[in-house]
Amino acid sequence: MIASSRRTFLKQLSLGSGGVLLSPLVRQLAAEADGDSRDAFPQRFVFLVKSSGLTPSAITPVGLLDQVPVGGAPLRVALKDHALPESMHALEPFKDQLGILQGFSGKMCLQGHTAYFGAMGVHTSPNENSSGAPLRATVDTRLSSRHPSPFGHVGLALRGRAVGGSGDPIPEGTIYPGLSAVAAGRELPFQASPDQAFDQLFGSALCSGQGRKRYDLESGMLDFLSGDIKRLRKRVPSAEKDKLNHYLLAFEELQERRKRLASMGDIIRSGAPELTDQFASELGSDRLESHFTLAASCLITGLSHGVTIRLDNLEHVYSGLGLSEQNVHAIGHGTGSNGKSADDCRDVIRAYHLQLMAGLAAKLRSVPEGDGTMLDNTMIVYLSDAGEAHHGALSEWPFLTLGGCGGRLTLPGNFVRMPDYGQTGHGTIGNFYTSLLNAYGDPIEHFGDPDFELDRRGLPQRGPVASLIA
Amino acid sequence: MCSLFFGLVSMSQAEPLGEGSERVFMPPFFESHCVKCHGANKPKGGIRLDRMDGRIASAQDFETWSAIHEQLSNGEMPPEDAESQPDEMERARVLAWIGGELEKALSSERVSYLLGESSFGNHVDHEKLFNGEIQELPFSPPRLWRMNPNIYERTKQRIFKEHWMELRRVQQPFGIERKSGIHDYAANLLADSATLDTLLRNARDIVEHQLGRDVPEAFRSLLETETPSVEQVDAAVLLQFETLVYRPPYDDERQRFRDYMRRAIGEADDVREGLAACLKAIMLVPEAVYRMELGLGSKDEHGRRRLSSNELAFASAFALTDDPPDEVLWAASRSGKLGSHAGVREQLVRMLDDDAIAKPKILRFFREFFGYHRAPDVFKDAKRYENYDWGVVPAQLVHEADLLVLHHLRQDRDVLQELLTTTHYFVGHFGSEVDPVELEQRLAALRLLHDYWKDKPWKELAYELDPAVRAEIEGLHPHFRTQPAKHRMSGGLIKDYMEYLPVCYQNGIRPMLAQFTHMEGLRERNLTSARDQRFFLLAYNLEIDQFDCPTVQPFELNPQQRAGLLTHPAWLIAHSKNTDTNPITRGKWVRERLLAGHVPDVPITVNAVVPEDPTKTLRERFNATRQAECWRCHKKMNPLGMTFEAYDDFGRFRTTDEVSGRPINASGRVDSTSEQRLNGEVASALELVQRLGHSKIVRQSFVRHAFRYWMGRNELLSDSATLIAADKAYVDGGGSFRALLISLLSSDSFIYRKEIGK
Repeated sequence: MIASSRRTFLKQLSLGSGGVLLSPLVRQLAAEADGDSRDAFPQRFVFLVKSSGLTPSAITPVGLLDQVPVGGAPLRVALKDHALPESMHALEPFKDQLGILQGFSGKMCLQGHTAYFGAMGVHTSPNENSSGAPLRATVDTRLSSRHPSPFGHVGLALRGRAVGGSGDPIPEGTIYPGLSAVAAGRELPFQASPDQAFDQLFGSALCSGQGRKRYDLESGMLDFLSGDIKRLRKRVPSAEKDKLNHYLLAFEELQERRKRLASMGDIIRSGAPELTDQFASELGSDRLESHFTLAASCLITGLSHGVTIRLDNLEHVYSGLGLSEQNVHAIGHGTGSNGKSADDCRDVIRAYHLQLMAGLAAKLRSVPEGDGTMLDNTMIVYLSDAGEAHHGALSEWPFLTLGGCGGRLTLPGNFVRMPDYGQTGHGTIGNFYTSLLNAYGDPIEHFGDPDFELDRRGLPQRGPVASLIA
Repeated sequence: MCSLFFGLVSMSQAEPLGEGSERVFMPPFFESHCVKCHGANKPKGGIRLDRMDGRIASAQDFETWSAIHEQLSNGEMPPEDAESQPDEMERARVLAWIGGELEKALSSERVSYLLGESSFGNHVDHEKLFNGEIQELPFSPPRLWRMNPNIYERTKQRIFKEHWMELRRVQQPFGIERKSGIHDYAANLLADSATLDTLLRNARDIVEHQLGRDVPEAFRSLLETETPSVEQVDAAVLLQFETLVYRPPYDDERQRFRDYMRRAIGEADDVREGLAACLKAIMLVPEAVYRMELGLGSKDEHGRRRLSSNELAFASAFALTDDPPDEVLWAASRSGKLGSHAGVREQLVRMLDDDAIAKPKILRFFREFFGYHRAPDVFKDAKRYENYDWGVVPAQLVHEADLLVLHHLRQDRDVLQELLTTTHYFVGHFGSEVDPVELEQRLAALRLLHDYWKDKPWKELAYELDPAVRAEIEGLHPHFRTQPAKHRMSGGLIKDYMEYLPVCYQNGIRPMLAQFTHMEGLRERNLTSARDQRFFLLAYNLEIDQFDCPTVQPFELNPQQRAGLLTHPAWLIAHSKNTDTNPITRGKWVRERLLAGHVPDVPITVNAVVPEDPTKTLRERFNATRQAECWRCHKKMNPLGMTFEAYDDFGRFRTTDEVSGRPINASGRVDSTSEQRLNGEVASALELVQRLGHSKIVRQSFVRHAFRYWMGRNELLSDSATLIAADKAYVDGGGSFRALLISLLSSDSFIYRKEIGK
């Protein structure tokens, strides 16, 4: 069945079926033989991180606003019987795979405008001006690291650090927004320019002209240097050869990746987005849409199984949405823009984000995979790096999840609310991330730092929330 | 050694043995004294000696054999209650055998890896290192030493200068995990694919900058031509080598990179692209990643090769600074002056004497040795610290510990002893380099500022001062005109002062001047207001409305409460847990850093948890470790670490335990050292540090750590002469760290290269 649907799809591919998206071709075929159908396909993870908080009530179906968990257990309600709030309209067609998750706290993180790495790494940062160093790999990269791909985890960003300089232009090139880390002390680089990201991800297969030239030159340079290292290796005593071998191996791995990309040329060419002027646009909305286009193609071609997108920061002005008068920071502080109240502005921004999220989900759903679609093996997470509000107190940290999550979580199709901070059964984002990691086969006992206040109140938080794991 | 070995074996085993034999049998000693407890039947501690192979030299069980050697030699094994004890002769013989075999094992790859772990350093016999019996001449193995993050940071700064936005984009490829102890070791740091990924990404950004902004002449001239000449190409290659590899290219390199650039220009049919590819390539050459210390100089009659003049120039420069050799050092290298030990010494003395040359590596050694700089890494519950933003407090405390180290380095008398025992500290001060007279003037200026504002609406000041207001303030006192820009008066600073100064004047005390604390090396955080200052004062048990800040520092804080760095809040916090003190880590620290001892890691079968009980002090709760199988190791740590129980986990002195309300018992003991006057009971940490400060073993242990830091490896027995000379230089110099350093950096261990075991 699996094979046949793929064959069908490959056929479509070879026929060059225009707008239809492609099958994920870089699959872990070996896993299919293992028996557990859940392991048959790589799992994909997309984290969408907005700034200025995610208001819990704004992502709660009206009928559920007054409902609270009782008896120390999470409140769990199926979403199918409830209409989503207006700003979530775009997600209606995906309600069966939507999860709304509320009530986890994150008070061990820096409170205020941003928690920096804490939002996905569960630890504090020095202060608003300094993210400090990441203490561990953040949950996004840790999840995707179990599903190797040519590019590993990809970071795309419209904006950099939450708190930038007033009126800073949209950044270009590689930036470090202080959000994701691949290991302790090693921040994940984010690409801010969609055209450069396009070049880096798809360039090897597609580029022509200047880009091709530069790419080929770099390949030549890597070969030249490999030769240089080999020459030096002859002069180095045996005990130290290992160090040069490691370095040489790094060059070979890089060349290997380039070759692998070259062998994926057809797939990449067919799956790569069309490079339009939008990629080089200076308009925020064009760029963000380009990032989503890149993310979808990246996942579908299998160039990467994990993407984190930094959606905006406090300096950003959503002119494309008709909010040209105020930036996200001012709106977060209650200032209206272009005749709309601050709350309405927040609704507009959120609706826009969720539209982009739905667009990504639709693309993934259009790709058959096994008995279902690629969306079944994907988890898209939407959150804010400031928790529940513009100045997050982090007593709760809401999340939306979208996708089938490989059948590993009980979130799809449900509204889940944890008991409030300080009540029995309450959990922290550390518990939530531990649940995700455990569900996806990472045996970690507990992810992140503890909340001492909860410890003091006799509510220790260690380990996963069992009811979230399927 | 071999004959002794055969002698031992022949008593029990008839099987022939030889060089190539598969299995080496254990001496009967183990059968007689060990196997009863460490045999097949419930082996104690999980150690089975009946199954162990005597092939120690293969390094298979190196750690276990090291532990056996250690426990036999200090009399911990066989235990006191054993049925029989070996006689001294038996013990000595078997120790000699194990020791000899361990020594052979040193040349194995596995052990050379272990030698790259500083925690393993103390396995080398302390007594032997210092008693002068070792005749082998010192050397270091030839090696590649990966670049360290500090050197790369400086290179970045040199390239990007004031363009800090672009500079921030260039990430650190040579990160070193900030673990405890000395860790920039040549053996274990590798450049791998993650390093290359970062380097390549950086190379693109750097070249973009080099060819886009402030383009140097050597590159510009190339960009302006379509057919570059050999001279133009060579000039560009030279500049990039000097910038990134810190030296001119050798002839063959120049040729290769010249050819490569021309080829790349041809392939790209574009001068800029070809040049860019070549500039990037130079950033990735092995020497931009590894410092080469192969020993390219002449060979002596003992088979040791000297570092070449070039190698020595780099080794000396990077030993003291984060910068490549300066002009004078290169000149000395070219003229062959570095060909003698005296010539090397001369350059070291010159660099040490020149205050214009920043030598951050020295302070970094003290940070790594004492470990106090890790205080900000310990995640603390700010609520227990009056709910204050905790991050800035440890950063300030570390800074003040740094000031103390720098002060004693400047004095350069009994440096270690002073750092362990001094009752004088820096608090709210700028260090002993600052002239007290100038501080008095600044205080006078503050008084004028206060008097000027006290009846004016200072609370309404905006952060940015109105130019007219600024002019008025600057007219108050010359000090306000001469301050560096970042410390100039702002509305915020005035408001902070105006809350704090009245408290001081009402109480008749001298105020502290604003402190600007570095947070994470990014921005400075102003610690000016009475509110802010109160919090780091608290760690010293000082009060904001009573602390009369001396202009001359270090000053005597409270000799009944504190002495030396080990009772400095920064050290205490760095060696504490999130919510508790940490007698184990502190005891282990003293045992390993100061007493040259070794404590094995917690066995994996042990789930070490201190029982919770709010009615007991931590010491009482630690009684769980008194069980025999725990105590064997814990006795090496607890009695030392418990002496610091007189301080809470924020470094505050205390006499009662806040949770249980019970009085603190901070007594302890020193034992198992070969220095008799060091051993015995101590009433508190204050008594402990006095004893440690005057000890020979402690001094020698310190010398060993300095050796590890500057050689980038653990010591071998063959380094004995280097260590003895360094120790002697320190003592003869009246406790001069400078003398110690010069001795180490002009030693055979620093200058000669030879492969281990050859």
